[in-house]
Amino acid sequence: MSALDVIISLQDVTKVFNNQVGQAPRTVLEQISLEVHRGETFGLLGPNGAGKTTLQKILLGLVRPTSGTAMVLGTRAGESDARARLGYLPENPYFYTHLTGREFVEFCGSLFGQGGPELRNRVDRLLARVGMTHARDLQLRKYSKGMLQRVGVAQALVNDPELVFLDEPMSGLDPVGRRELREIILELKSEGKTIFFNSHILSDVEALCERVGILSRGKLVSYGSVRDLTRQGSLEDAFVAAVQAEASA
Amino acid sequence: MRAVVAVAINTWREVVRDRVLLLLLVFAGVVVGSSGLMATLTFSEERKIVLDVALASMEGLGVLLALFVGGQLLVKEIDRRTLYVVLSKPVSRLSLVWGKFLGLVMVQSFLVAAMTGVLGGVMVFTGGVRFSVLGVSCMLVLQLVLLAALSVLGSAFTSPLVTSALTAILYVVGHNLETLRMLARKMVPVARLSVEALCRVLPDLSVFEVKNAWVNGVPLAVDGMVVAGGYAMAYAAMCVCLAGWLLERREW
Repeated sequence: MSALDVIISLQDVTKVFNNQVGQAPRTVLEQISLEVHRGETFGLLGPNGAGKTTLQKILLGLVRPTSGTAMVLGTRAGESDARARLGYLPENPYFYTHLTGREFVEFCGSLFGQGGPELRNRVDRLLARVGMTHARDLQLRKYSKGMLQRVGVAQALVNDPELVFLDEPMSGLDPVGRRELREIILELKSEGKTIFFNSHILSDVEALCERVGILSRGKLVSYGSVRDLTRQGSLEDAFVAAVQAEASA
Repeated sequence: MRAVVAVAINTWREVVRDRVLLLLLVFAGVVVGSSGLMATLTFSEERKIVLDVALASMEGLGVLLALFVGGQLLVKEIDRRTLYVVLSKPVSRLSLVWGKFLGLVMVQSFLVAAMTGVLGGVMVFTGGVRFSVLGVSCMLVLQLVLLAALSVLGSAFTSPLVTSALTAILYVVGHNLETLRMLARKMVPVARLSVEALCRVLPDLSVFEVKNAWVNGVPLAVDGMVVAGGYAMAYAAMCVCLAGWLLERREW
Protein backbone atom coordinates (compact mmCIF):
# COMPACT_ATOMS: atom_id res chain seq x y z
CA MET A 1 0.00 0.00 0.00
CA SER A 2 1.65 3.29 -1.07
CA ALA A 3 1.47 6.51 0.93
CA LEU A 4 -0.79 7.98 -1.76
CA ASP A 5 -3.36 5.30 -1.07
CA VAL A 6 -3.69 6.31 2.58
CA ILE A 7 -6.71 8.63 2.66
CA ILE A 8 -6.98 9.01 6.43
CA SER A 9 -4.12 8.71 8.85
CA LEU A 10 -4.29 9.18 12.61
CA GLN A 11 -1.13 9.06 14.71
CA ASP A 12 -1.51 8.98 18.51
CA VAL A 13 -4.50 11.31 18.47
CA THR A 14 -5.70 12.33 21.91
CA LYS A 15 -8.54 14.69 22.69
CA VAL A 16 -9.08 16.18 26.13
CA PHE A 17 -12.00 18.51 26.74
CA ASN A 18 -11.39 21.10 29.42
CA ASN A 19 -14.66 21.35 31.28
CA GLN A 20 -15.92 24.25 33.34
CA VAL A 21 -13.83 25.62 36.18
CA GLY A 22 -13.69 23.19 39.09
CA GLN A 23 -14.33 20.11 36.93
CA ALA A 24 -11.60 17.72 35.89
CA PRO A 25 -10.58 17.62 32.20
CA ARG A 26 -12.28 14.81 30.30
CA THR A 27 -10.26 12.56 27.99
CA VAL A 28 -12.52 11.58 25.12
CA LEU A 29 -9.93 9.98 22.83
CA GLU A 30 -6.64 8.41 23.87
CA GLN A 31 -3.69 7.67 21.59
CA ILE A 32 -5.73 6.69 18.53
CA SER A 33 -3.71 5.50 15.53
CA LEU A 34 -5.31 4.11 12.41
CA GLU A 35 -5.27 4.32 8.61
CA VAL A 36 -8.02 4.20 6.02
CA HIS A 37 -7.09 3.37 2.44
CA ARG A 38 -8.40 4.67 -0.86
CA GLY A 39 -11.57 2.94 -2.03
CA GLU A 40 -12.28 1.07 1.17
CA THR A 41 -15.31 1.26 3.42
CA PHE A 42 -14.19 1.64 6.99
CA GLY A 43 -16.55 1.26 9.93
CA LEU A 44 -15.91 2.84 13.30
CA LEU A 45 -17.84 0.95 15.94
CA GLY A 46 -18.38 1.63 19.59
CA PRO A 47 -20.97 1.95 22.32
CA ASN A 48 -22.64 5.32 22.91
CA GLY A 49 -20.15 7.84 24.28
CA ALA A 50 -17.12 5.90 23.04
CA GLY A 51 -15.80 8.94 21.12
CA LYS A 52 -16.84 8.01 17.56
CA THR A 53 -18.41 11.37 16.73
CA THR A 54 -15.51 13.30 18.29
CA LEU A 55 -13.06 11.32 16.15
CA GLN A 56 -15.07 12.14 13.04
CA LYS A 57 -15.21 15.82 14.05
CA ILE A 58 -11.41 15.83 14.34
CA LEU A 59 -11.15 14.45 10.82
CA LEU A 60 -13.51 17.17 9.59
CA GLY A 61 -11.65 19.96 11.41
CA LEU A 62 -14.60 20.80 13.66
CA VAL A 63 -12.55 19.81 16.71
CA ARG A 64 -8.76 20.03 17.13
CA PRO A 65 -6.81 17.14 18.61
CA THR A 66 -5.07 17.90 21.91
CA SER A 67 -2.06 15.93 20.70
CA GLY A 68 -1.16 13.67 17.81
CA THR A 69 -1.55 14.09 14.05
CA ALA A 70 -4.67 13.70 11.92
CA MET A 71 -4.23 13.72 8.14
CA VAL A 72 -7.06 13.59 5.59
CA LEU A 73 -6.53 13.34 1.82
CA GLY A 74 -2.86 14.20 2.20
CA THR A 75 -3.36 17.38 4.23
CA ARG A 76 -3.85 18.21 7.88
CA ALA A 77 -7.43 17.41 8.95
CA GLY A 78 -9.65 20.44 8.60
CA GLU A 79 -7.65 22.12 5.82
CA SER A 80 -9.84 23.71 3.18
CA ASP A 81 -8.28 21.54 0.42
CA ALA A 82 -9.35 18.38 2.23
CA ARG A 83 -12.85 19.67 2.99
CA ALA A 84 -13.36 20.50 -0.70
CA ARG A 85 -12.92 16.82 -1.53
CA LEU A 86 -15.05 15.21 1.15
CA GLY A 87 -18.74 14.82 1.95
CA TYR A 88 -20.31 14.61 5.40
CA LEU A 89 -23.63 13.38 6.71
CA PRO A 90 -23.97 14.41 10.38
CA GLU A 91 -25.61 12.25 13.02
CA ASN A 92 -29.28 13.23 13.38
CA PRO A 93 -29.62 15.52 10.39
CA TYR A 94 -29.42 19.14 11.57
CA PHE A 95 -30.43 21.18 8.58
CA TYR A 96 -31.99 24.55 7.82
CA THR A 97 -35.69 23.85 8.25
CA HIS A 98 -36.72 27.05 6.42
CA LEU A 99 -35.24 25.75 3.15
CA THR A 100 -36.81 23.29 0.74
CA GLY A 101 -34.93 20.09 -0.04
CA ARG A 102 -33.76 21.47 -3.37
CA GLU A 103 -32.72 24.86 -1.91
CA PHE A 104 -30.78 23.13 0.84
CA VAL A 105 -28.75 20.92 -1.49
CA GLU A 106 -28.20 23.92 -3.80
CA PHE A 107 -27.01 25.94 -0.81
CA CYS A 108 -24.54 23.17 0.07
CA GLY A 109 -23.33 23.11 -3.55
CA SER A 110 -22.79 26.87 -3.52
CA LEU A 111 -20.52 26.46 -0.47
CA PHE A 112 -18.22 24.52 -2.82
CA GLY A 113 -18.28 27.42 -5.27
CA GLN A 114 -20.76 25.70 -7.59
CA GLY A 115 -23.64 27.54 -9.22
CA GLY A 116 -25.84 28.09 -12.26
CA PRO A 117 -27.78 25.52 -14.29
CA GLU A 118 -25.04 22.93 -13.78
CA LEU A 119 -25.62 22.93 -10.03
CA ARG A 120 -29.40 22.86 -10.44
CA ASN A 121 -29.17 19.82 -12.76
CA ARG A 122 -26.78 18.10 -10.39
CA VAL A 123 -29.09 18.73 -7.43
CA ASP A 124 -32.07 17.33 -9.34
CA ARG A 125 -30.06 14.21 -10.22
CA LEU A 126 -28.93 13.74 -6.61
CA LEU A 127 -32.45 14.17 -5.24
CA ALA A 128 -33.68 11.60 -7.75
CA ARG A 129 -30.89 9.26 -6.69
CA VAL A 130 -31.99 9.38 -3.03
CA GLY A 131 -35.67 9.16 -3.99
CA MET A 132 -36.61 12.68 -2.93
CA THR A 133 -37.77 14.24 -6.21
CA HIS A 134 -41.38 14.24 -5.05
CA ALA A 135 -40.55 16.33 -1.96
CA ARG A 136 -37.87 18.61 -3.38
CA ASP A 137 -40.01 21.75 -3.10
CA LEU A 138 -41.23 21.00 0.41
CA GLN A 139 -39.61 22.83 3.36
CA LEU A 140 -37.34 20.61 5.45
CA ARG A 141 -39.44 21.34 8.56
CA LYS A 142 -42.11 19.11 6.97
CA TYR A 143 -39.73 16.20 6.32
CA SER A 144 -39.71 12.97 8.33
CA LYS A 145 -36.42 11.76 9.82
CA GLY A 146 -35.93 9.29 6.97
CA MET A 147 -36.51 12.03 4.39
CA LEU A 148 -33.98 14.29 6.16
CA GLN A 149 -31.47 11.44 6.14
CA ARG A 150 -31.90 11.03 2.38
CA VAL A 151 -31.56 14.71 1.65
CA GLY A 152 -28.53 14.66 3.96
CA VAL A 153 -26.96 12.00 1.76
CA ALA A 154 -27.70 14.15 -1.30
CA GLN A 155 -25.92 17.18 0.22
CA ALA A 156 -22.98 14.98 1.22
CA LEU A 157 -22.53 14.00 -2.43
CA VAL A 158 -23.08 17.41 -4.02
CA ASN A 159 -19.34 17.94 -4.65
CA ASP A 160 -18.78 14.39 -5.97
CA PRO A 161 -16.44 13.69 -3.03
CA GLU A 162 -13.55 11.24 -2.92
CA LEU A 163 -14.18 10.55 0.75
CA VAL A 164 -17.58 10.36 2.45
CA PHE A 165 -18.12 10.55 6.21
CA LEU A 166 -21.38 9.10 7.42
CA ASP A 167 -22.19 9.54 11.12
CA GLU A 168 -24.77 6.93 12.20
CA PRO A 169 -26.40 6.97 8.75
CA MET A 170 -28.92 4.25 9.55
CA SER A 171 -30.19 5.63 12.86
CA GLY A 172 -33.88 6.43 12.80
CA LEU A 173 -34.52 4.76 9.47
CA ASP A 174 -37.18 2.10 8.95
CA PRO A 175 -36.11 -1.22 7.37
CA VAL A 176 -36.94 -0.01 3.86
CA GLY A 177 -34.99 3.21 4.39
CA ARG A 178 -32.03 1.27 5.76
CA ARG A 179 -32.00 -1.04 2.78
CA GLU A 180 -32.15 1.91 0.36
CA LEU A 181 -29.33 3.69 2.14
CA ARG A 182 -27.28 0.48 2.12
CA GLU A 183 -27.77 0.34 -1.63
CA ILE A 184 -26.59 3.92 -2.01
CA ILE A 185 -23.47 3.14 0.04
CA LEU A 186 -22.80 0.07 -2.13
CA GLU A 187 -23.16 2.25 -5.24
CA LEU A 188 -20.65 4.72 -3.80
CA LYS A 189 -18.30 1.81 -3.11
CA SER A 190 -18.62 0.61 -6.67
CA GLU A 191 -17.72 4.13 -7.85
CA GLY A 192 -14.46 3.81 -5.91
CA LYS A 193 -15.26 6.29 -3.16
CA THR A 194 -13.73 5.90 0.26
CA ILE A 195 -16.37 5.68 2.99
CA PHE A 196 -15.80 6.21 6.68
CA PHE A 197 -18.80 5.56 8.80
CA ASN A 198 -19.71 5.50 12.44
CA SER A 199 -22.33 3.07 13.52
CA HIS A 200 -23.43 0.81 16.29
CA ILE A 201 -25.63 -1.28 13.98
CA LEU A 202 -23.28 -4.23 13.56
CA SER A 203 -25.18 -6.00 10.79
CA ASP A 204 -24.81 -2.97 8.51
CA VAL A 205 -21.12 -2.67 9.29
CA GLU A 206 -20.59 -6.37 8.63
CA ALA A 207 -22.41 -6.15 5.30
CA LEU A 208 -20.67 -2.99 4.06
CA CYS A 209 -17.19 -2.64 5.54
CA GLU A 210 -13.89 -4.23 4.65
CA ARG A 211 -12.21 -3.07 7.83
CA VAL A 212 -13.39 -1.79 11.18
CA GLY A 213 -12.07 -0.14 14.32
CA ILE A 214 -13.75 -0.62 17.67
CA LEU A 215 -13.68 2.28 20.12
CA SER A 216 -14.45 1.87 23.78
CA ARG A 217 -14.18 4.69 26.31
CA GLY A 218 -11.94 6.65 23.96
CA LYS A 219 -9.51 3.82 23.20
CA LEU A 220 -9.15 1.89 19.97
CA VAL A 221 -9.55 -1.60 21.40
CA SER A 222 -9.70 -3.54 18.13
CA TYR A 223 -8.74 -2.70 14.56
CA GLY A 224 -8.56 -4.88 11.49
CA SER A 225 -10.42 -6.53 8.63
CA VAL A 226 -13.95 -7.76 9.17
CA ARG A 227 -12.78 -11.18 7.91
CA ASP A 228 -10.10 -11.42 10.62
CA LEU A 229 -12.37 -10.19 13.38
CA THR A 230 -15.14 -12.63 12.49
CA ARG A 231 -12.88 -15.69 12.20
CA GLN A 232 -13.83 -16.86 15.71
CA GLY A 233 -17.52 -15.88 15.50
CA SER A 234 -19.81 -13.00 14.52
CA LEU A 235 -18.82 -9.34 14.51
CA GLU A 236 -21.13 -8.92 17.49
CA ASP A 237 -19.08 -11.47 19.45
CA ALA A 238 -15.84 -9.70 18.53
CA PHE A 239 -17.35 -6.34 19.45
CA VAL A 240 -18.66 -7.47 22.84
CA ALA A 241 -15.39 -9.26 23.66
CA ALA A 242 -13.30 -6.18 22.79
CA VAL A 243 -15.50 -3.78 24.76
CA GLN A 244 -15.69 -6.07 27.80
CA ALA A 245 -11.92 -6.66 27.78
CA GLU A 246 -11.35 -2.91 27.85
CA ALA A 247 -13.93 -2.41 30.60
CA SER A 248 -12.29 -5.01 32.83
CA ALA A 249 -8.75 -3.74 32.15
CA MET B 1 -16.54 34.94 -1.68
CA ARG B 2 -19.20 32.70 -3.19
CA ALA B 3 -19.62 30.98 0.18
CA VAL B 4 -20.10 34.36 1.91
CA VAL B 5 -22.83 35.27 -0.60
CA ALA B 6 -24.47 31.85 -0.17
CA VAL B 7 -24.54 32.20 3.63
CA ALA B 8 -25.84 35.79 3.33
CA ILE B 9 -28.70 34.71 1.04
CA ASN B 10 -29.49 31.82 3.38
CA THR B 11 -29.62 34.23 6.34
CA TRP B 12 -31.93 36.53 4.39
CA ARG B 13 -34.24 33.60 3.62
CA GLU B 14 -34.14 32.48 7.24
CA VAL B 15 -35.24 35.87 8.60
CA VAL B 16 -37.86 36.42 5.91
CA ARG B 17 -39.36 32.94 6.24
CA ASP B 18 -39.38 33.13 10.03
CA ARG B 19 -41.89 35.93 9.45
CA VAL B 20 -39.92 38.27 11.71
CA LEU B 21 -39.44 40.69 8.85
CA LEU B 22 -43.10 40.48 7.82
CA LEU B 23 -44.15 41.29 11.36
CA LEU B 24 -41.76 44.22 11.54
CA LEU B 25 -42.84 45.49 8.12
CA VAL B 26 -46.52 45.42 9.09
CA PHE B 27 -45.72 47.16 12.36
CA ALA B 28 -43.51 49.71 10.59
CA GLY B 29 -46.20 50.38 7.99
CA VAL B 30 -48.78 50.99 10.70
CA VAL B 31 -46.51 53.21 12.82
CA VAL B 32 -45.02 55.28 10.00
CA GLY B 33 -48.37 55.47 8.20
CA SER B 34 -50.20 56.58 11.33
CA SER B 35 -47.67 59.34 12.01
CA GLY B 36 -49.76 61.41 9.60
CA LEU B 37 -52.79 60.76 11.77
CA MET B 38 -50.90 61.81 14.92
CA ALA B 39 -49.96 65.07 13.28
CA THR B 40 -53.61 65.96 12.71
CA LEU B 41 -54.07 65.94 16.49
CA THR B 42 -51.68 68.85 16.93
CA PHE B 43 -52.32 72.51 16.23
CA SER B 44 -48.98 73.44 14.72
CA GLU B 45 -45.89 72.00 12.99
CA GLU B 46 -47.88 69.09 11.58
CA ARG B 47 -45.18 68.10 9.10
CA LYS B 48 -42.38 68.22 11.66
CA ILE B 49 -44.25 65.83 13.94
CA VAL B 50 -44.94 63.44 11.06
CA LEU B 51 -41.24 63.28 10.22
CA ASP B 52 -40.14 63.07 13.88
CA VAL B 53 -42.44 60.17 14.69
CA ALA B 54 -41.79 58.31 11.45
CA LEU B 55 -37.98 58.57 11.60
CA ALA B 56 -37.88 57.63 15.29
CA SER B 57 -40.06 54.58 14.52
CA MET B 58 -37.77 53.56 11.67
CA GLU B 59 -34.74 53.75 13.92
CA GLY B 60 -36.47 51.92 16.77
CA LEU B 61 -37.58 49.02 14.58
CA GLY B 62 -34.19 48.73 12.92
CA VAL B 63 -32.52 48.62 16.33
CA LEU B 64 -34.98 45.95 17.52
CA LEU B 65 -34.11 43.85 14.47
CA ALA B 66 -30.38 44.18 15.20
CA LEU B 67 -30.89 43.31 18.88
CA PHE B 68 -33.14 40.31 18.59
CA VAL B 69 -32.33 38.81 15.22
CA GLY B 70 -28.63 39.73 15.15
CA GLY B 71 -28.03 38.35 18.62
CA GLN B 72 -29.38 34.94 17.64
CA LEU B 73 -27.77 34.43 14.25
CA LEU B 74 -24.63 32.54 15.26
CA VAL B 75 -26.13 31.01 18.40
CA LYS B 76 -28.89 29.40 16.33
CA GLU B 77 -26.27 27.87 14.02
CA ILE B 78 -24.48 26.43 17.05
CA ASP B 79 -27.59 25.28 18.95
CA ARG B 80 -29.19 23.66 15.91
CA ARG B 81 -25.80 22.29 14.87
CA THR B 82 -26.37 23.49 11.30
CA LEU B 83 -22.85 24.88 11.39
CA TYR B 84 -21.51 21.31 11.22
CA VAL B 85 -22.87 21.12 7.68
CA VAL B 86 -21.40 24.49 6.70
CA LEU B 87 -17.99 24.14 8.38
CA SER B 88 -17.43 20.62 7.05
CA LYS B 89 -17.35 22.26 3.60
CA PRO B 90 -14.51 24.51 2.40
CA VAL B 91 -15.89 27.50 4.30
CA SER B 92 -13.84 29.32 6.93
CA ARG B 93 -15.43 30.40 10.18
CA LEU B 94 -14.69 34.00 9.22
CA SER B 95 -16.62 33.53 5.94
CA LEU B 96 -19.55 32.14 7.92
CA VAL B 97 -19.56 35.21 10.19
CA TRP B 98 -19.29 37.60 7.23
CA GLY B 99 -22.16 35.78 5.51
CA LYS B 100 -24.41 35.98 8.57
CA PHE B 101 -23.56 39.67 9.05
CA LEU B 102 -24.18 40.60 5.41
CA GLY B 103 -27.46 38.67 5.44
CA LEU B 104 -28.60 40.72 8.42
CA VAL B 105 -27.48 43.94 6.72
CA MET B 106 -29.56 42.94 3.65
CA VAL B 107 -32.62 42.49 5.86
CA GLN B 108 -32.04 45.81 7.65
CA SER B 109 -31.53 47.67 4.38
CA PHE B 110 -34.73 46.19 2.99
CA LEU B 111 -36.65 47.16 6.14
CA VAL B 112 -35.37 50.75 6.04
CA ALA B 113 -36.04 51.03 2.28
CA ALA B 114 -39.62 49.80 2.77
CA MET B 115 -40.21 52.17 5.68
CA THR B 116 -38.73 55.07 3.68
CA GLY B 117 -41.20 54.23 0.91
CA VAL B 118 -44.11 54.42 3.36
CA LEU B 119 -42.74 57.69 4.78
CA GLY B 120 -42.44 59.08 1.25
CA GLY B 121 -46.13 58.28 0.74
CA VAL B 122 -47.04 60.06 3.98
CA MET B 123 -44.92 63.09 2.96
CA VAL B 124 -46.83 63.41 -0.31
CA PHE B 125 -49.98 64.14 1.72
CA THR B 126 -48.27 66.46 4.21
CA GLY B 127 -46.54 69.06 2.11
CA GLY B 128 -44.50 67.18 -0.52
CA VAL B 129 -41.54 64.83 -0.64
CA ARG B 130 -38.03 66.00 0.36
CA PHE B 131 -35.75 63.64 -1.49
CA SER B 132 -32.98 64.25 1.00
CA VAL B 133 -34.91 61.83 3.22
CA LEU B 134 -32.93 59.18 1.32
CA GLY B 135 -29.75 60.56 2.90
CA VAL B 136 -31.31 60.31 6.36
CA SER B 137 -32.27 56.70 5.59
CA CYS B 138 -28.71 55.96 4.43
CA MET B 139 -27.35 57.28 7.75
CA LEU B 140 -29.85 55.06 9.57
CA VAL B 141 -28.70 52.03 7.57
CA LEU B 142 -25.07 52.82 8.43
CA GLN B 143 -25.92 52.97 12.11
CA LEU B 144 -27.79 49.66 11.84
CA VAL B 145 -24.82 48.09 10.03
CA LEU B 146 -22.66 48.96 13.02
CA LEU B 147 -25.25 47.61 15.48
CA ALA B 148 -25.57 44.41 13.44
CA ALA B 149 -21.80 43.93 13.66
CA LEU B 150 -21.90 44.46 17.43
CA SER B 151 -24.70 41.88 17.70
CA VAL B 152 -22.80 39.36 15.60
CA LEU B 153 -19.70 39.93 17.71
CA GLY B 154 -21.68 39.37 20.90
CA SER B 155 -23.29 36.21 19.55
CA ALA B 156 -19.83 34.75 18.90
CA PHE B 157 -19.10 34.49 22.61
CA THR B 158 -22.26 34.83 24.66
CA SER B 159 -25.98 34.06 24.81
CA PRO B 160 -28.64 35.88 22.74
CA LEU B 161 -30.07 37.56 25.86
CA VAL B 162 -26.70 38.93 26.98
CA THR B 163 -25.89 39.94 23.39
CA SER B 164 -29.15 41.87 23.08
CA ALA B 165 -28.59 43.55 26.45
CA LEU B 166 -24.98 44.49 25.60
CA THR B 167 -25.94 45.84 22.18
CA ALA B 168 -28.79 47.86 23.71
CA ILE B 169 -26.39 49.34 26.29
CA LEU B 170 -23.85 50.17 23.56
CA TYR B 171 -26.64 51.81 21.53
CA VAL B 172 -27.58 54.08 24.43
CA VAL B 173 -23.97 54.80 25.45
CA GLY B 174 -22.90 55.25 21.82
CA HIS B 175 -25.38 58.09 21.45
CA ASN B 176 -24.19 59.75 24.65
CA LEU B 177 -20.41 59.57 24.51
CA GLU B 178 -20.14 63.36 24.77
CA THR B 179 -22.11 63.31 28.03
CA LEU B 180 -19.81 60.54 29.27
CA ARG B 181 -16.75 62.64 28.40
CA MET B 182 -18.21 65.62 30.24
CA LEU B 183 -18.78 63.47 33.32
CA ALA B 184 -15.24 62.14 33.04
CA ARG B 185 -13.83 65.66 33.32
CA LYS B 186 -15.23 65.84 36.86
CA MET B 187 -13.64 62.53 37.91
CA VAL B 188 -10.30 61.78 39.60
CA PRO B 189 -7.42 61.42 37.08
CA VAL B 190 -7.31 57.60 36.96
CA ALA B 191 -11.06 57.29 36.44
CA ARG B 192 -11.02 60.16 33.92
CA LEU B 193 -8.30 58.53 31.84
CA SER B 194 -10.10 55.17 31.96
CA VAL B 195 -13.41 56.66 30.83
CA GLU B 196 -11.71 58.68 28.10
CA ALA B 197 -9.94 55.55 26.84
CA LEU B 198 -13.25 53.69 26.89
CA CYS B 199 -14.87 56.48 24.91
CA ARG B 200 -12.26 56.01 22.20
CA VAL B 201 -13.07 52.28 21.90
CA LEU B 202 -16.86 52.40 22.16
CA PRO B 203 -18.85 53.06 18.97
CA ASP B 204 -19.70 56.72 18.54
CA LEU B 205 -23.24 56.56 17.18
CA SER B 206 -23.72 60.33 17.35
CA VAL B 207 -21.96 60.59 13.95
CA PHE B 208 -25.08 59.04 12.40
CA GLU B 209 -27.50 61.38 14.16
CA VAL B 210 -28.78 63.69 11.44
CA LYS B 211 -32.51 63.22 11.59
CA ASN B 212 -33.32 65.88 14.21
CA ALA B 213 -31.38 68.56 12.34
CA TRP B 214 -32.88 67.43 9.01
CA VAL B 215 -36.44 67.60 10.37
CA ASN B 216 -35.68 71.18 11.44
CA GLY B 217 -34.63 72.06 7.90
CA VAL B 218 -30.83 71.77 8.21
CA PRO B 219 -29.42 70.30 4.98
CA LEU B 220 -27.35 67.10 5.15
CA ALA B 221 -23.58 67.53 4.96
CA VAL B 222 -22.16 65.20 2.32
CA ASP B 223 -18.68 65.14 3.87
CA GLY B 224 -20.21 64.17 7.22
CA MET B 225 -22.03 61.30 5.52
CA VAL B 226 -18.83 60.09 3.87
CA VAL B 227 -16.98 60.14 7.20
CA ALA B 228 -19.88 58.31 8.89
CA GLY B 229 -19.87 55.72 6.09
CA GLY B 230 -16.15 55.07 6.47
CA TYR B 231 -16.47 54.91 10.25
CA ALA B 232 -19.38 52.42 10.11
CA MET B 233 -17.61 50.17 7.59
CA ALA B 234 -14.30 50.17 9.48
CA TYR B 235 -15.88 49.56 12.89
CA ALA B 236 -18.21 46.85 11.54
CA ALA B 237 -15.35 45.11 9.71
CA MET B 238 -13.33 45.10 12.92
CA CYS B 239 -16.22 43.59 14.91
CA VAL B 240 -16.92 40.91 12.29
CA CYS B 241 -13.24 39.94 12.05
CA LEU B 242 -13.04 39.75 15.84
CA ALA B 243 -16.16 37.54 15.87
CA GLY B 244 -14.53 35.27 13.26
CA TRP B 245 -11.36 35.08 15.36
CA LEU B 246 -13.39 34.15 18.46
CA LEU B 247 -15.33 31.52 16.53
CA GLU B 248 -12.06 30.08 15.21
CA ARG B 249 -11.12 29.23 18.79
CA ARG B 250 -14.36 27.51 19.69
CA GLU B 251 -15.14 23.81 19.54
CA TRP B 252 -18.49 22.10 19.60
